[in-house]
Amino acid sequence: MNLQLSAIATGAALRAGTVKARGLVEDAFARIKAVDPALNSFTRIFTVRALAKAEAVDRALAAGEDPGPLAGALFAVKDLFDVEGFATTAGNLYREGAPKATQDAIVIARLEAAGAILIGATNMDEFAYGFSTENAHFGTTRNPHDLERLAGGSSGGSAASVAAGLVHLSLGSDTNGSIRVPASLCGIYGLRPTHGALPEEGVFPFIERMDVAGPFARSLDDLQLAFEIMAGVQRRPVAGPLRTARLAGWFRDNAGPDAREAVDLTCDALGAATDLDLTLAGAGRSAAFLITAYEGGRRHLAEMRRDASAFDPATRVRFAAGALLPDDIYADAEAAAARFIAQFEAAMMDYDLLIAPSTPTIAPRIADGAIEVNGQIVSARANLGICTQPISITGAPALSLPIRRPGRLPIGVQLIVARGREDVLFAAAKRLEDMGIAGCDWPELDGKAA
Amino acid sequence: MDRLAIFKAGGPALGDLTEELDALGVCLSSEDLEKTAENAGLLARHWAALQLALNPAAPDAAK
Repeated sequence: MNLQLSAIATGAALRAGTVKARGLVEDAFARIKAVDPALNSFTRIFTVRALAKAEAVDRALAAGEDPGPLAGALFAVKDLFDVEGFATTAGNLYREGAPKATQDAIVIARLEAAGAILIGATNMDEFAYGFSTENAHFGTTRNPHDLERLAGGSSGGSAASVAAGLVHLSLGSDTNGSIRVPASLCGIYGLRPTHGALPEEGVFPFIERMDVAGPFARSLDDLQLAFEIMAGVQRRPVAGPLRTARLAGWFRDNAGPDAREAVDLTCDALGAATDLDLTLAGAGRSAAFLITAYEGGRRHLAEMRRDASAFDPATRVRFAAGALLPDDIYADAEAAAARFIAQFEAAMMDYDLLIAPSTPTIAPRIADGAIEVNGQIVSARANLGICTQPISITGAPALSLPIRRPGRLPIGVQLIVARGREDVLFAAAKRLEDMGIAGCDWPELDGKAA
Repeated sequence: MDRLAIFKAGGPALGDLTEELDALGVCLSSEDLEKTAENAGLLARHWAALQLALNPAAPDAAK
């Protein structure tokens, strides 16, 4: 079975009787066995469960029933979504001994009720604290477009598994950019929904006021369908012109040449002639950084006291520093965040759509561990989200859109809208896809993935 | 030790940091303590960076 087909097209093939769901799953297992040792995108495969679900889909079709709009869509989840019968590791090896989940996360249950088939769990930065998916317990996830480069994080395994064609869809979580960053570096679509739009029950928390679950896909239509099923709503199409601006200032200053080129191409295509400077965006980013450190440090303090050595070395030193932050600094971060959010929301009264880089650069080399931002060499793990973090703190939705550039490494562009207006995101993305600006280029992976 | 003061100073010195983590009940190796101090310094710089937004004279409107 050719996984270059979208999930929607695969469902049509199932209904036409040209493929069977069990065959799809068996092919996916074979592909994962062949390709994933090089990528390290999966941490666990749910073999028995996936085959049972595939057989249920096949039985439903044989009985003349429709298994649902995502019939036969293969998906994976970041290893922080509860899967019944398994411990949710959140990227920490020692949590394999935690109590097993007694039910699936609600978003998993909704996708499966629509006919999708859960294949496995994917690698991540420990406790979602990082932008690189370098994990001391489970290894580093590699970028399908260049195995010497990072896939981004913290939902890097979910992004890499989709980009490599191992599954149609995957789920990640985005607190500070953990969906948009790996989507950009792996060259696929990744949606950060409006904060609160999707149920978080059964998702291991990081910073609850910023956490959202969201989908990755190679097909924009698949992404929209998966989102609507998980959200339980169907968005109406958006017609007419969109008031669009390019984010300047913080977002422009911290973008490298590839990111600027991608943003300019997108703005030209959408006729965005205005540059908008959210002058408090840098402060918004710092507020997000501090709130994350403060709350993350406190969330994990009891475990840190019990046995700090159980944590990834790169994570424990960040949690330890965050645990030291006094309440006064947290209060300052909240006040700064509130002022930036007010500026952002006022700007969204004048614009329907804002355009910014998803990442400041293309995927950095794993061996370097660093990126250049505005003339400074800084840690990739902490800074790949420099353009996503300010948006996270607003609670607004954003879509990282892959810009077509065959033969070159991928980079994404962030489309940003007001809270609850995912319909505008999908409409703008569709226009860009129809113009040939947006879309996924397949990685070669020595011919193994395609 | 006043934690606000150590962040005002650009991040804690190693001795202060060790003392504060001991008080929190967190035990780290000497290598981890050095890296924690680096991270605390980064947090101090972020705190300094958001002062723009806390300044009442800062413009509220986007440009």
